[in-house]
Amino acid sequence: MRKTFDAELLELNEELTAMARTAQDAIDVVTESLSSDDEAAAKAAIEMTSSMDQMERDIENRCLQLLLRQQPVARDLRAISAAMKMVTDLQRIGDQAANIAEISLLLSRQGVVKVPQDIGIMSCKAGLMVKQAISAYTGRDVETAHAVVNLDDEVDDLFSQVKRELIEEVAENKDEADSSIDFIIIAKYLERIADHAVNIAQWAIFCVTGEL
Amino acid sequence: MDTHETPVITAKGLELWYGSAQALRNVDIDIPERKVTALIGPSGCGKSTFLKTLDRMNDLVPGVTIKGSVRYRGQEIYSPEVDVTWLRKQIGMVFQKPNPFPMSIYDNIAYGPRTHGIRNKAKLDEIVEKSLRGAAIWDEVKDRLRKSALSLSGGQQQRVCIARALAVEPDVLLMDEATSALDPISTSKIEELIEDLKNSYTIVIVTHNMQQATRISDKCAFFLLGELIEYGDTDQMFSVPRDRRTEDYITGRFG
Amino acid sequence: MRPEKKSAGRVAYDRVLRALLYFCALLTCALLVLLIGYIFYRGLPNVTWQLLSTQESFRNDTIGILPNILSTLLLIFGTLLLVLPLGVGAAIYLTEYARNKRVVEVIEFATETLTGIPSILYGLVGMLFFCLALGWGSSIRAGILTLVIMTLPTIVRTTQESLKTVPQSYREASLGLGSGKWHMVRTVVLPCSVDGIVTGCILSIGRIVGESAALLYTAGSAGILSRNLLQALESSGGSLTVALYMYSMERGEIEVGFAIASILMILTLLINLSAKFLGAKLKKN
Repeated sequence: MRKTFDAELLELNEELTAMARTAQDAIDVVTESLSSDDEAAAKAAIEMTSSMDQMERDIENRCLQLLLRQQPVARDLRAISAAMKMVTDLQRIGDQAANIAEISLLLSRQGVVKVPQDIGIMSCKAGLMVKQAISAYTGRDVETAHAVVNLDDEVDDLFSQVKRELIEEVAENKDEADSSIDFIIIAKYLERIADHAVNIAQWAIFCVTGEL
Repeated sequence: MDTHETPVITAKGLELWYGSAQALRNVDIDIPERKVTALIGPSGCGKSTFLKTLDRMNDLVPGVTIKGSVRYRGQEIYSPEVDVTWLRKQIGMVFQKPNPFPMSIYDNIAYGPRTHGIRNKAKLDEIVEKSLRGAAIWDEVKDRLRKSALSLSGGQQQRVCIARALAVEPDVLLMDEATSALDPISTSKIEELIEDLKNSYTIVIVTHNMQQATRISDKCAFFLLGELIEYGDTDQMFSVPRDRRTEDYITGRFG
Repeated sequence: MRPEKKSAGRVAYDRVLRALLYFCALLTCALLVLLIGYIFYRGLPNVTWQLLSTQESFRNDTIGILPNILSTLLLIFGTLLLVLPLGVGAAIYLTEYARNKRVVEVIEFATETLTGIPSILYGLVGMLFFCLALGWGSSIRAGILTLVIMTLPTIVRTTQESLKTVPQSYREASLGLGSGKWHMVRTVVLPCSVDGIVTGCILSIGRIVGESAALLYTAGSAGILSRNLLQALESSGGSLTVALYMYSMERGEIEVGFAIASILMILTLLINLSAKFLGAKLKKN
């Protein structure tokens, strides 16, 4: 029953997963570029995120078509409307990654190498959250989604910690205040990425339970 | 959800057999006043049967046994002292296929009032106009009231049938797939009409059209194999159904 | 649909068949027209005012069939008057009220069988019961009652068939508006089945008009005018068909026979037309 529709829903899942993987890869690459002062990596990250624009449009189109043709109700309606909302969050994640990459380019031109360790951890966690949020959606897995929501607290704590450390850093070493502020901005972006991942996880929960 | 809804019709532990085949199993339901309640479910699930128990149209089918209770405004409708003609005057029925009598449009509408003893010409004229207006077809037929109702289009015939039902001033209106034989434009006219009518009537519809149920009903009841599987607010049922079987049915993945 | 060309053989076959069908239709019409034409040709010149307006007089040696015309009309209307309420009522009961399907089936089978019984049997039973047992002798009333029994199955059958064609949805609609059962039958079902009842009447009239054997047994063959209706019912009276038989076979008056035949045909036509007219009128109201 409704084989075509089910197949299309599967394709929608795959497209979302692909987009999420791109976002996650971009985060990884950008983190890499920060720690290794690698200009090429930063450029590659920007390249990756720009391909996400097209992905977003494709997914939105597919969702609209499914709404139009299949007039979904119940779990189908929830899945498709969640997908339409999530794709925006994914797109934002891509934007934040691109922003980080641009700062990273700037930093590497200035020859700054010493990235605070916690930023690396934050970036790992944020990437993991994006990955898990999407797999919670595609697998209709509420537990994983809740885990993502819980991870956000850790990222928030890390952000506060990074901020504190950098403030101290600025106080101690006024010459490097510039780069310290850049690092705070990067941490803020990562914290935003985690927030978007939480949104995605919440859409995954909605998709299963219907709770907003 | 409005918790102060007064139920107009209440069924409790309703069971029905056609001969030895059970068509309804232990149905409990409260039909709220001035709301549209939609009955959905696959063919043969008992939704039409249930609808017909509400105005005792099943009495016409030989070999029907009914157990349990159906109350209309507190009155047990299957108790022996109930006058079936009174009940059917309170609870009107519109059928799947438009079935105007082979008479003039006027006589079709006047049929019910005449049956209930109204002979006064002026009074009948008034009822006919009011009913046809109520069914949103007055403007289309006012110049040909003496023409045969069979000369109208299917959609118009169905609205004449609704007007005919309204002419006896019922309290509840039952509609058994009233738009399934009509084209989309006639269907949307009747759907709009139902939206209007629910301000003054309690309406129960049987429909195979999920979109129609979502468009026009406030409450929705899902029947399967004679059982009432799920009953609740339409918005909730079509976004987050409680029962897996309801979800499978409304998303088209049933069976 | 394949755009294949018809083969020449098929075309020829088609044409031959079509020609055959035309021929059949033509033959039927021609036979009918010839028969009617022949009867009118032989009969109408012999239809005189005297024939129509007097009874037979041996003293004047004139032949008149007025008593036979009146007997025929009396037989037709008397029978219909009794058989219609009875037959239509029975049909309504069987289709609308009877709940026991098996009993209905048995009755339907019985009526079907009765329609096929040769009329002379009815005549025999009618004579034994009405004329002898009740002591009515040969009389129009015995004839009427015999004809009632004879045409009852026809009326019941045709009415029933007609009631069955009334869509169930009309009944549901009427009951759904709060009608009682009889009100529903009277206001919806009967008006819709007027056509069938009229057909039953026409068939019955045909049977009555065409009947000779059963009437010879029960209504006799007399051709004497009665003073009033009551006397007419109690006395013997030959219908036109009986008179036709008597004049042409017993007395050798072939020309009178054709004249009676013409009158019979005109009479039947008039009665059938008025039945149709009445039916249409009833249906409108």
